[in-house]
Amino acid sequence: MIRGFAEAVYKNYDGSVYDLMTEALEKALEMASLERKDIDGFMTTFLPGVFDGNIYMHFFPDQLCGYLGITPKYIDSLEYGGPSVLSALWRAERLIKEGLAENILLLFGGKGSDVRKRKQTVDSFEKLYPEVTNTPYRHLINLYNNMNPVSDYALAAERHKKIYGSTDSQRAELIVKQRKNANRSGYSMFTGDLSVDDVLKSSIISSPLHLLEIVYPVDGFHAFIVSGKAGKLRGIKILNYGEAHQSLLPPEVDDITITPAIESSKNFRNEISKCDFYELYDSFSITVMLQLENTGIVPAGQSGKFIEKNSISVDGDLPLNTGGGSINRGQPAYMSGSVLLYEALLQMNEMASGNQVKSPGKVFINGIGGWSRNHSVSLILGD
Amino acid sequence: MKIDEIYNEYDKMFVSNKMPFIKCKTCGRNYYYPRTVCPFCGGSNIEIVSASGTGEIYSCTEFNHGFYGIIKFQEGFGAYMDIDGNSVSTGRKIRIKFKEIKGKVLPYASVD
Ligand SMILES: [Zn+2]
Repeated sequence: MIRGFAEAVYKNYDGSVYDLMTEALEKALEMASLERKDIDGFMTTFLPGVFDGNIYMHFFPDQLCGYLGITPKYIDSLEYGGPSVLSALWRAERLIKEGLAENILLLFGGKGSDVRKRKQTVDSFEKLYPEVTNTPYRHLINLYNNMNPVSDYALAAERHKKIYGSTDSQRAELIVKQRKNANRSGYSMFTGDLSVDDVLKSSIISSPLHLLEIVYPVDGFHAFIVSGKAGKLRGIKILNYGEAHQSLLPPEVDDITITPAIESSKNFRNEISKCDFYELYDSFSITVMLQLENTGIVPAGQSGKFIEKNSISVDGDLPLNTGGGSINRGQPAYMSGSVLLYEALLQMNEMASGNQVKSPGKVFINGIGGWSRNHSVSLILGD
Repeated sequence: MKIDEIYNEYDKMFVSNKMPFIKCKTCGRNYYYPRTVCPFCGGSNIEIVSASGTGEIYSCTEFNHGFYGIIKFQEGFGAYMDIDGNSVSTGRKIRIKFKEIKGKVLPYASVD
């Protein structure tokens, strides 16, 4: 169960990454009515560049615990980007059940602006460090003119257009509808009127993806305290869970519109359709569309038409990315998993004020990411 | 085979303008990104072969005034690559050419 959760997210945070994480931790401890000495488990993740602008940190999780004054019995770092925090929640629930820890802190985030301001993306950060190669494939990938993950998702969007006939307008429609959710939520970073035309007129970053279809990397941390007791919060837990990882590169698979979300969600497809709202990883418009199809919410190739026809607001046909998603809330440290989980917890605890899903019973969350979309985590939260 | 042997052979073939790939003699599938064990079947009975150098654009994207994409070769393997030519689009046939990038000769796809 989650006993405390908090965010400290800024478009540009001028101070230190250590102040940012401290802010998130202190807010979460306050909600949980716990102190630092009560935390006996710690889970995090490290991505090159996005913690504090440096490509590496020595013994990362231990350094953070030392700085924060936490003495855990259990330490872990999950290294697959955006969906890692969702897996951390599942592992933390297991560890608590096994009696290996009582209160586990999940601390995820960093300063995405450090990479953004140097005009690199998370996967191209190695270009600033010519002596570093981030993959086993040496020069065969990194010397080309790529801009991963943006160009890689652009290839998926282009392929989806080619085989299913999805359109730029359909992807733009999703962005417009998520913006409506953001406007209504009152707690989003990016707000204001947005039309399909506005999206299509924004510059093409990597064809066919436009600027407004791409998540904006920001600075921030989320802290989640997983515990055997829910404290003041609703005692929700993971009811269904799946994770899937694949090792082939996109050029080596037959169909790049298929992600490991097919595999991670396959054991509880019937339960997914019964959920009250949905939080799907939205690094790009196409990411949401691939997950809608791959988790069986809509048939393969139909996500574009589905988005055109249906409402995704909290009182719509399929409440989806109810707070506006990370496209509107900003993507802390190039990872959206915490944004999804935070929004799900706000809704489930009926703390979303004017944008509240009515009496939510269950939420389906899907995270997708890592290098080359190699990882997917699917889960349902409920009582 | 050791991984360095694969890279050395690839580099030599690139310099003589040949497009290498790896043929798995166990399962018969072909792949491009160097591993000493076949990613499809786990077999280690592999050999480096020279490809025809023709294929088609599986998907492509334009940015920074250039094209980049996934090429599916006639021999069935796929690779990321820069793409050049006047009418680059998904589905178009390509032929491999070679260029020097930061001191390394590498293949790129060219639309005729
Ligand atoms: Zn094989």
